[in-house]
Amino acid sequence: MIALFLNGQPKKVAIGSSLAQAIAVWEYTESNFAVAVNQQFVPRSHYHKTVLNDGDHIDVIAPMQGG
Amino acid sequence: MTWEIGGKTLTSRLLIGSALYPSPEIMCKAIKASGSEVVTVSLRRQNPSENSGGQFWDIIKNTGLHILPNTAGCHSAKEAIAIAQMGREIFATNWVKLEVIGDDYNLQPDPFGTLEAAKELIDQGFEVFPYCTDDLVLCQKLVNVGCTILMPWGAPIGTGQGLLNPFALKTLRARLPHIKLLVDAGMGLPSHACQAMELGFDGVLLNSAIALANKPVAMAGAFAHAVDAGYGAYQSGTMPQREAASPSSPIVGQPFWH
Repeated sequence: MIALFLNGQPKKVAIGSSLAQAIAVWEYTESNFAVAVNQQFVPRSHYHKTVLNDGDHIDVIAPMQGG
Repeated sequence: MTWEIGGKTLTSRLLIGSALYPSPEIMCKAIKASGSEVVTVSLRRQNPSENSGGQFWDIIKNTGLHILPNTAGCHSAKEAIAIAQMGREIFATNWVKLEVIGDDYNLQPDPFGTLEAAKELIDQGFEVFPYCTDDLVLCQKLVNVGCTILMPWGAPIGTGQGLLNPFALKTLRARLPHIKLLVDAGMGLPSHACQAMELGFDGVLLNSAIALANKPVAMAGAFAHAVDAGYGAYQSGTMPQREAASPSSPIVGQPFWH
């Protein structure tokens, strides 16, 4: 297992996990979100080929009220 | 009368925010009453157990308005660029309201970070709506990197103080005649929006002034009228100010004069 952060909270995933696998494990089922790894945007089409590493910071964001 | 901004044709010159309303229902009614065709939204972390983002997005989608994703809360160009890219994917729009905050107390935009992010985002094909100060040189530099829209503040976000520096805003209008100028932030009264339009601004972006009113829906309507009135005044050409009084009734034929 490797240790990383999802929205600032510690998480663990299997070594070699792709972003797509992690997103599925974390049960993000809606389509209205976008993801950044270490503050770099990762397009949805790249989730499968993005391999997560120990210590990565993953942010999953969605629309919210704003002004 | 229609106008163009960011490649889209609009009728209303009032852009509206989606935060701080007492309820989603009041937000929807206020947006409708404002006549606005553009609503700005933010992007925030979402945990899978909550689906608040999904519920909010469904409500906003149903308004049918153009979405203007913002980068509110970002403190660096890097953060703002990432959020803009994420917004483009979620909302399928190349519009972004660019906010890079430089001071947490005033929520004053960081001119250097804003300029850096604007240049990069324009290179990436974004239509950038930069929230900026009213500094002429900064605004000129934003134009030089490709911005065709500028959104200088009237006053710090959420203060409701109105246009603190009309001279600077007037200068921007005079010096940047071909740039779409909108006052973003700081207005509290419809008269503030009217004043911005009277100065020749192309539009205003509002949130707190409507959402925090006792009656947001009625206030949204009041702002819509104010924006129309100010725009009409600017288009009509105002009379010059004079120091001395000048009678409007004719002097010739005045009875009882000796």
